[in-house]
Amino acid sequence: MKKIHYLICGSLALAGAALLLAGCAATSNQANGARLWSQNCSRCHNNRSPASYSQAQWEVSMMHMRLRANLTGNEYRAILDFLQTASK
Amino acid sequence: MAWVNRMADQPLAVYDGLLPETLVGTQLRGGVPLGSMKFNYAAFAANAPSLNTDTNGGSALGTLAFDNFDNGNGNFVGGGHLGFLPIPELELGYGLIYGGVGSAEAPANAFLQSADLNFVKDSAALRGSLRLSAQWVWSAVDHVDYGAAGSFDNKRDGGYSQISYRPTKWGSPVLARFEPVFRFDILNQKNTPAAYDEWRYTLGLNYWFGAMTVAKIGYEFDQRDGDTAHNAVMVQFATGF
Repeated sequence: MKKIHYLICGSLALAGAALLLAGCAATSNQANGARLWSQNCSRCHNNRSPASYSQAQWEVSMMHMRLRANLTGNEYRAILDFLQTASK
Repeated sequence: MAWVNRMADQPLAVYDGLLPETLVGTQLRGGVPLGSMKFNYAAFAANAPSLNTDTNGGSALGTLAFDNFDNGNGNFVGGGHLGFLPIPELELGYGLIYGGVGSAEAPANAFLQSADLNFVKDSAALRGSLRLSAQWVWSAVDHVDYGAAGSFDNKRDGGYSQISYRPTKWGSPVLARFEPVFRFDILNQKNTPAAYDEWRYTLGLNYWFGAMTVAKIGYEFDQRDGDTAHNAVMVQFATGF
């Protein structure tokens, strides 16, 4: 019985750690996306507020800007994730 | 031009001067990370610009017409651009275009090259946003017999440098809307039928109503070696999406 308790507690601890890490990764990705958004987009034009477009609209916009700004795949995904999370 | 122009007019030599602003063709482009640095690239094939051989065209003789939506003379050009970003704020680039631009009666190739620099920094230390940009273009077209107008060494070059600053971090929402800008641009073409070199100093002040709407006012000091100068006051209102 004691072993089952250890197993349950261990599993919960692992799940908690995984959730914490996932949360940190998401936050880190958001920060990365915000940084890349600031660096890449303002090179050519003023940055438009993320709240000015919906998630679907940002997807269309980013499809276009990925080409115009020569973004890599990782940059594109990070910026889109940031904009969609902060969108209206 | 990829970036939003801070001036009411375009710099000499660059777009639709010695280089095309657009061409009809096909292009491959993208970015490649290299650690904390980055390269970007573009390669294309397009309808060629056409060489102006109209001897009644006066100073335009020997220039390139870039708005070719068809491929009338059967010529194509190839080219590309390579950009290097050692830090995210700085891009150094080089581009070229090469191909036939003449006709069956007057065959000729053109070789266009361009070197460019862009620096954009928004920081608390600068208390705002600083933009520096510069580009130089070399255009070389083969010798062509223009009939009564003869032939000439069809080489031109020119470019610009520009600086602008937007004081967004001085704590004043009103001040943050203004953006002073200064540009120096030059075009060397005295040995062509145009017969004059030109250089300009332009002072401008922009007022940003929002992220995508701006009013621009500027005064351009124009000097020409071999022709009359044309100073100008420029006012422009621009909005985009």
